[in-house]
Amino acid sequence: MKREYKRPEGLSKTIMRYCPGCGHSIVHRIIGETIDELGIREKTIAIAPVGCSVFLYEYFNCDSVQVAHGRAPAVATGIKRVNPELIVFSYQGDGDLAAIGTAELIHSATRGENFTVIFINNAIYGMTGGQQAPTTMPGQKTTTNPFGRDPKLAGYPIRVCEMLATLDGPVYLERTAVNKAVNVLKTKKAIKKAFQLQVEKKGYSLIEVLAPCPTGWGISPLKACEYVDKVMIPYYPLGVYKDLTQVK
Amino acid sequence: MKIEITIDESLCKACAYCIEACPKKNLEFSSNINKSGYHPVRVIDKSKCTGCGMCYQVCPEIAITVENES
Repeated sequence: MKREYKRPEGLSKTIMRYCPGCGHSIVHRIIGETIDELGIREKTIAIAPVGCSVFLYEYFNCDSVQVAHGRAPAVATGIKRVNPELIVFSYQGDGDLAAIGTAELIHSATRGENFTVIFINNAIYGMTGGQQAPTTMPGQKTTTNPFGRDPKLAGYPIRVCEMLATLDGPVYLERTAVNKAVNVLKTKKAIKKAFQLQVEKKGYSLIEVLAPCPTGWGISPLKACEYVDKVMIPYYPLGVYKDLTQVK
Repeated sequence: MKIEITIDESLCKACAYCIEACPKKNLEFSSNINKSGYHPVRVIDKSKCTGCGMCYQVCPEIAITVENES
């Protein structure tokens, strides 16, 4: 048996310009592998968000659209309704999806549109310099709250998967992480399942991925992975939040 | 059984995820500096590599390629 671990064809040869230890590029690779394995590269459309992953269209070897801040699910809805044969996924960070794009996210979910949302939750606005995001942990220091997030002043972090699980529209919701090898493998399984469900025309799926942001958090990459384990995962428990494919 | 592990030094950003993930602790930082200014990771002993691919799984830069024929 031959096993090969190499750059998937779903990704272009462009060097990814993320910071050392960024979770984005791991998720990019997982999506690239999934596109290869399902053989859907020729009919996949990636929706790039605003945020660190704004240059996603350069990194993926498929057609893509770069959309206005937070509006990825709205554009994905349009593309999918015009041509239901295409495989559409939106790739969004927490500032894009959970702050400015909350309305688009919730309404696309409740309509049960047949596309996949990949949600990267790194608890901070990375691209603009580490400001507080809706998902920033209580007590976490950011450039806009240098003494740590005070829930009395800035509210509590939003748990997106739990929120969407109350709706009837979504088919598959899961939260995973990319802070260590075992979680990366679980993320791969979850993302592949979400794409598979879309190919089978089952409906809306969202995979939330807890990702380290060493630069934004101001710590080393390995410490950032530890932070995901010790602080983020207890607040955002990993697991499947909704899976209608199991219910008959 | 043939195992081939290659690390593209020019892509490595020295995050140390692979060093942490390697079950054989067979990776380390090299002393030379790549064109981005990082000390890239190198394999200590290629014959010890089991080809499990864990370093590839955690590498954010896809700098590691593993071929495992068994």
